[in-house]
Amino acid sequence: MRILMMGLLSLLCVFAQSTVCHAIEIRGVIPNLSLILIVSYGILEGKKRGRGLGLFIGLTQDFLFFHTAGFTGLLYYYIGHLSGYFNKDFYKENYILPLFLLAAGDLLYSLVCYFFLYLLPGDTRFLLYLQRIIIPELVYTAIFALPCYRILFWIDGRIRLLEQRMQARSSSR
Amino acid sequence: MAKKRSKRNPLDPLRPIKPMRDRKKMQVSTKYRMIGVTLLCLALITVTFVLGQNIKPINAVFGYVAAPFQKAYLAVEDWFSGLMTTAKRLKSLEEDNEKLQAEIDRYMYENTILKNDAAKLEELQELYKLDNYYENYPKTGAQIVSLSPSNWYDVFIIDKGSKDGLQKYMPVLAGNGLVGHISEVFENYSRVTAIVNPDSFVYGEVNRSPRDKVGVQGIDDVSSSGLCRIQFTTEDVDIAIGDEIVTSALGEIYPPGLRIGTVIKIQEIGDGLNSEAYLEPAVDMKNLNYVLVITELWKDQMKEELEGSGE
Repeated sequence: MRILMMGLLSLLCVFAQSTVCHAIEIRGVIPNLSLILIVSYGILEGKKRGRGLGLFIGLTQDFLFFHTAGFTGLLYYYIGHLSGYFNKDFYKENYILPLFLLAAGDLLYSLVCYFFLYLLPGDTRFLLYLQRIIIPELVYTAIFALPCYRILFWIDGRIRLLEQRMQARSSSR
Repeated sequence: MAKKRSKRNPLDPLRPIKPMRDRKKMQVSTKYRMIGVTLLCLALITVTFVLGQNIKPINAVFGYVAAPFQKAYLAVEDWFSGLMTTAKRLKSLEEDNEKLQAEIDRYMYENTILKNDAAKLEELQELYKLDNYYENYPKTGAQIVSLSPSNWYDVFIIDKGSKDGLQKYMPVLAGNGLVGHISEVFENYSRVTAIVNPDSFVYGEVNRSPRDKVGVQGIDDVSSSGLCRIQFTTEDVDIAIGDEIVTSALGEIYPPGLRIGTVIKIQEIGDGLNSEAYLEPAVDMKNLNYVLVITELWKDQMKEELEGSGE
């Protein structure tokens, strides 16, 4: 049930990011919806599920758009894992924490991408990329973080409710 | 109905109680699993790096699932933006209609003149035995299904694949300009490498005499977004700002005569003896929707012609 829902949601997310998001791009920068999904899910559901979702979204994105399979998968795997460390009940309701965590996650993603895709091949103009891509993407993703997290929080609540009902029904038999 | 307080209250009977020691540290099996997944991903990365292409069967599956979804998404988006424009346009609909009608009349007049010119041109070409390579090639239209999902790389996907007869290295055009070539073909979708991509190199020439040969390479430069760098094959190439660059017959991928773009900047680097130029593509990459794919490989054409003239 949960797997099905999250699977559909993550596929929708990857597709939205490659089609709809480009329509709302500002100066060439699009918000990183997949990252929002993964970090939020990690906060709401813990390390294990954060890892699983991260791996799934990352591999999907890899196979569809990038030449080396596994790069984004590995990166999102660890981001999901790290955001799972913040899975505490009193953190989830707070809407400010996800904002910071998403900013940190996006920064991590950008830095790793820059390191492996640009620095290693020899491009050392870090400040230029910082100014043109990293910071705008950070800000833009953060703007999307708040409403998206609220929606995900609500979705997660509904799934939990459904699971508890199913559990109650099966245990009362 | 289950009570909502279970979300916050840890003492709720339906919430499982984990023993303290499991919660305090990560279990050993989890660590092994994480290391395993990391190794698997690294193996995948090296495998695809070494092979240079993705694992085809898995890609085919994603293509079947992904491409239709994305097309559906785009269809919805188109419909929605269609609604918005209709709403905006309602006010000025009549005015637009009149303007358009006047334009149609003008175009019909110009069309007649152009048709006459075209007939003359054909005769002249026949006289000088010029082969117009570009017009004789079979072409097929395709729609761009998606752009890249990240700010860090630049690929796009079109909705035709091997089952439509597409092959790797087929040229891709839009209108009269060159977009790029197909870099990877799957069952029902293909990946296109644009000329602005740093992996792309095009053999071109300046479209006025002397027809000096140049190379056009995409640059992945954030400060010159969407431009290509022109490389000079000899030291004294006759090139100026505003010159049009077209594909030359030297290349293996593109047939000659396709517009690549216009020179917009020439600057001297270093000691003033060398200079480099920048080209703005003829095609607006940011707003691409429909493209044309030439469904013949230039390499084959070249082989055919060599065989034909060798008789």
